[in-house]
Amino acid sequence: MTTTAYLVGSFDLLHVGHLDVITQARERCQRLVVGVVDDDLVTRSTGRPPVVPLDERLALVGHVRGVGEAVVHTVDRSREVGADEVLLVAGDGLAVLADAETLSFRRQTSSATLLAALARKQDEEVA
Amino acid sequence: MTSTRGGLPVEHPEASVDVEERRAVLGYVPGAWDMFHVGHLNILRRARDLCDRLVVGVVTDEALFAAKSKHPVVPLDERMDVVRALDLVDGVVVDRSSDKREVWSRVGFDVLFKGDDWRGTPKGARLEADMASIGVEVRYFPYTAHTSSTLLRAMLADR
Repeated sequence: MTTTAYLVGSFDLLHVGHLDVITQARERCQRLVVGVVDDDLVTRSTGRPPVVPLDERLALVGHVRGVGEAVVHTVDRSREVGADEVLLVAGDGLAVLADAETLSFRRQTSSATLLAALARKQDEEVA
Repeated sequence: MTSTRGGLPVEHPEASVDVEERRAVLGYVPGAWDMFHVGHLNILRRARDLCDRLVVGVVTDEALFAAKSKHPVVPLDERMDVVRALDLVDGVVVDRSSDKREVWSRVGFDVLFKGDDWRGTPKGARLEADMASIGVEVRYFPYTAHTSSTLLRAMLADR
């Protein structure tokens, strides 16, 4: 049986940190589906809108090696895609989902400009 | 009985080559690929459709500054890693010179893809002449990545 993981994140300004969490997710499954968080949820979760709009973030993530499919994240999506586990990208401020594990960046972009643009406005995660 | 191709015996100098036997076309597309965005992705998609294997050249920080008086936002190793991670890309190399014969001596590509802002300019003419001298075709694409990068830079500066 093919194991499926569902990885949720914003993937704004695609950088090497995102590649790392995708690699981590890919190590744990045979099929990886990525749920990309829409602009409104990014704004609510981080206190500021994404730099890059959803359709572009979807297109870019969809072309990363190891990603089987990139879809818009919804609360029903993990069940729809038959996920065996749900994974969250750390730092995106998403509410902790039941049985969802957070993947931290083992590697992060060193670009101060990107990091500043992606910094969240709030310290606590917003539900 | 002698086997034939295109009606001519195989050993005839003008016998046409079977399509299946043509050599794979290696494409090359250089760029900065800084703050990788959808404009970049579209260039890679177009290039990939026009060759059998696509090698992407990532310009060094120094070469980028020499050519455009700009420092990239993202360092070279990260720019290469992002490009390398894409399913459209078969290989990635460092590109350190505006003279593309240098990278050709390492990669040996058949076609080079370039933004059409160079077409009809002295730089474009020099590139075409250089490439013609080594049997490489130059194909131009609409130059849209520049606009997106400039916009992104401005947006990041304001945040």
